[in-house]
Amino acid sequence: MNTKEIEILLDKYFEALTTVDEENILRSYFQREDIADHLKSVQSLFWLIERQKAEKTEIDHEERLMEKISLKKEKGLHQKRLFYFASSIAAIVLLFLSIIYFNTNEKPVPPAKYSPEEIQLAMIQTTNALNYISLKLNKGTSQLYHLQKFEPALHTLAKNLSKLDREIEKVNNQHNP
Amino acid sequence: MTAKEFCKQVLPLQDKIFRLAKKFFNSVDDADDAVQEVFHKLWTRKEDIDSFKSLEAFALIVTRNHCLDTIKAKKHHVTQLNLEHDIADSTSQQKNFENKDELVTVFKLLNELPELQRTIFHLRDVEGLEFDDIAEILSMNPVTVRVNLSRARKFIREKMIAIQNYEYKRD
Repeated sequence: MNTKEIEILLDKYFEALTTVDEENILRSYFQREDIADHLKSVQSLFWLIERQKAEKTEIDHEERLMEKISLKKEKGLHQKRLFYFASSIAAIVLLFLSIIYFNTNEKPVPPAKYSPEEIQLAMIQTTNALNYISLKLNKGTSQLYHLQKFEPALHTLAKNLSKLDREIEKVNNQHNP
Repeated sequence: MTAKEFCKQVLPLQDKIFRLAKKFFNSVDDADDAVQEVFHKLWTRKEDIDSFKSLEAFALIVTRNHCLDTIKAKKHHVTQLNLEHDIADSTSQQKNFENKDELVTVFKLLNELPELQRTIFHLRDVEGLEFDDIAEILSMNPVTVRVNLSRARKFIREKMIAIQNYEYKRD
């Protein structure tokens, strides 16, 4: 490839219009020692690219990777399975416990047997309790007698009102005979 | 997919992942750590692999994201001294080039590029990927990829010429 063609390619290269193949041609051209002087200004760019293309990792990544993922996989799966197993057992146990708990609580309490003395004692105590309650209740109602005072007052009010009525009627008659 | 099958698929990508990670960290050790991290991430997401055009594209997406996250988290900083060492070492082992300094200069210029342009330049010029593949990896338009690549290449050319003119005048 002559210098003219290289110049054209180089112009295309800086406009990013070259293909990968054309860029390979350019790079291999610039690896030569005997290039035209006016093209030397960009030579080191292609040297650097060539150098970077050749860079390689020097570590055995396969060994490290296999160690990492095969360990992780087994350990991870094992732990996961164990976790799922344990949690399902726990859930079942909880379910049974709750069924037993609620069933025993809902069963009606069977009527117990009491002796006649106990029944009598219970009767007396219940009566006493009820008496106590009614006593307190009566105390409250006894205060209601004050309501009786309303009745005479209402009577007087009614009397006075009828008097007023009559007076108004009288006044009306006098004005409109 | 067994661990063995997985290894067979991803191991050929180790150098590509290494090189891309090295672009970010400028350190061999960090790049090797990144390779392991990326492999492990691929393993945990191996069900997603089929939804990408290629395993290579998926691996490079994971690599870039991993590098960006790591740099963000650690505020990763690389001294220029390391860069020069790296270049000097790799050159001394190969053909004797006229000027190592020139290579170091270009290397520094590449590092001055914004992350996106530098990544595009790397994927195209070093890895030789097509615009469509780069566009998928960076989830952007192929035309935008081309524009950014042109910008990156021109930036380097202009800076190189400017530096050479300056040195010429000084001599």
